[in-house]
Amino acid sequence: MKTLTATPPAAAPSVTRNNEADRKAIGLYLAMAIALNLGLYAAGIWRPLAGFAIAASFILLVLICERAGRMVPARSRKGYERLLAFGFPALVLALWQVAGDIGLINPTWFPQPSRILGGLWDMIVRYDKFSGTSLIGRPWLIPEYFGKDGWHGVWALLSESHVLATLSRVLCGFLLGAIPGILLGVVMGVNQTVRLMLDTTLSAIYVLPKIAIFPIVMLMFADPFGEGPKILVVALAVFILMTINTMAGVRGIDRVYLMAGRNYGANGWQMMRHVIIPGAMPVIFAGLRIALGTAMIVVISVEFVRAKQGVGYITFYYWEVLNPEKMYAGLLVVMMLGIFLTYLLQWLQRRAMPWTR
Amino acid sequence: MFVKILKKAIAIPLAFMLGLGTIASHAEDVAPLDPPQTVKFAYVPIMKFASAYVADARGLFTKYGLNVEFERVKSGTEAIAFLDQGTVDVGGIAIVASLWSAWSRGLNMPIIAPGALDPLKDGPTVLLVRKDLKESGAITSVSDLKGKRVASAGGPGSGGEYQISKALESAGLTIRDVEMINVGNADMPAALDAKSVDAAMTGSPFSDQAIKAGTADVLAKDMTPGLMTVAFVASGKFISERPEAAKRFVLALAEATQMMQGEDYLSPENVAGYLKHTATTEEALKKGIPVVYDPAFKIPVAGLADIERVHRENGRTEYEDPIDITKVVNETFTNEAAMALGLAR
Repeated sequence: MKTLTATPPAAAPSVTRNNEADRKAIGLYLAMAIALNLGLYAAGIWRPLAGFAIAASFILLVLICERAGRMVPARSRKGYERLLAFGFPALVLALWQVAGDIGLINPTWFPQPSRILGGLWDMIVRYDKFSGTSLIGRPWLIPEYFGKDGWHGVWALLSESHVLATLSRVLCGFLLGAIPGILLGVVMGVNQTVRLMLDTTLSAIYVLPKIAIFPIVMLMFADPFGEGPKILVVALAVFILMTINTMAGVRGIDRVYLMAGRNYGANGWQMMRHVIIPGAMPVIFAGLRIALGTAMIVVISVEFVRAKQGVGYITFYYWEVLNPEKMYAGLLVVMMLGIFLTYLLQWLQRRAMPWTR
Repeated sequence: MFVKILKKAIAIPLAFMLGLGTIASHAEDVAPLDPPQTVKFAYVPIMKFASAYVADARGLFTKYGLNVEFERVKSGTEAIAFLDQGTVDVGGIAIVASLWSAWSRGLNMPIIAPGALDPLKDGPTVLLVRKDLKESGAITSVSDLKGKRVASAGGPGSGGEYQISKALESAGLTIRDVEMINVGNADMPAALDAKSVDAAMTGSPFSDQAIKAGTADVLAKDMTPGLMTVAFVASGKFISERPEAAKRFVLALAEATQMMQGEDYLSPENVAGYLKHTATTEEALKKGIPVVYDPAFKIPVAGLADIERVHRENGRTEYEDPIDITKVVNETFTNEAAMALGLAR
């Protein structure tokens, strides 16, 4: 280990020289970025040229990070990459905050991150007595409600949550759409007749904006304003996507694997279990990831127009009553749900496809 | 209060309306802007902003050196953002909860001219109840709506919610006592027919459709007689940077209002304006009870306080103390217009 990390004596001056050059370049780019922005600001033209100033500053920042990256020792590389991944969004948020504070952007319509976080906190801790809802269902009251009414009390508490309302619609719709979608996709992948019969129809339905067919879906239910239509429209979107993706995944399996399976004497079920499903799995999971994102988009759009509970509803509600901080906070919750669901799917993927680890 | 104002307004002698010649001569004192200025007007395409449509159809904006660009918006909230940013100069919008929130946040966008007033009697907006529920005796009065599903267009804090609140208030109920459902006006007849809702607040021609189909009956009407629920709201930037344009815009509206009184309401020039800027039909215009345009062109401040109170009590605003109504109304331009046109007030 020691020999690996030791620097060859002959290379040391060259590394030092390179570091020196990188340091100088970083200093130069930094000075250019500051001079550019200060110059435009002093000339009173920063605001009209804001797009140019931001783009130029971003390019200079990329150059600075490139140079800084060269100076980072190998053992610190991971930390540096993490810094870039989280540091850049943090920098954008900090600049947004400052721009709002000094009036460069209109804080009424583009409230600073601190105000959005304040709004989010208020939404988390606040129980709306008018609608009987809260953002996450006040989980800190679970012991108290459990003590009073047992599980019934806990359920009553959690059912007031906008987040759980949205998550339950997404997960129900996702499962209802993904499972038959994958099954039909496999059938279409292996059977040409079924594929020819359904492919055109599915392609046609795929491009329909699901929110546009929502009123028709509502007509199919005895209670058009209940949960049924919302879940079905999500399931429909997921089903179409998963069918098309799975079919593509099955058809994309290398013929060598199919031939090998047959040569080993695998019957239909064995081919399916050991060759076709595992072979299509990467594409299926890629499809699931897209379908999950689509499910979120569809459910949020539906909640915008036809719901009394849910993150989409609460986001649009705060726009309707002109509370932009909380509207942004709602969007933030949507993004966090997206991240959560994506990580959940990745975890599932690692479980289902251990060979990809 | 606003009923009184309206009665007074309507009682203004016919001579007032016939005196258009005098009006024209006074108005000629106001020179057109040279070169003409562009005014961006964002509006919800409903008949309650018909004075603007008439001013456009009759060339009144052009007469005062204004090039008014009409931009349709879906809701008042959409227009509020543009008004605050100054990308829209005037908004023809409903006085909804978001507008009160905007004012409470100190956004500078005062009401500069009145929209239409609801008719005193037989107004176009009615509270419908499903016929089967009425005939079975399940719902015979507004108080029977407790726990029932009531549809309104526009969602939380909207004009529709305000109207339902007023209807429920008459029976000692609030919107928390019913299940409010947001349904588009065009979907109301179908929702009643499918028994998805028990009652619905809607206007002509959708109310007529449901009644004609035999699926609904009127439960309550004239919830807000004589009340102004919409207004012309100006961007603070517009009135501070281009007050001359604002003055002429309001003057054109005032002059158009004079041309909409009595039988003139359905004159071919006016109808052309209505049809151009809304989705209404000539038949609907002739059949329906027209909304009222106060010839005295006053902004009815008293009624505004009631709208503010209802939205606040419904929990649609973040603030809790009443807003000072006089701070959200700028009567400078309506007063100038009245003087220029010699209006009796």
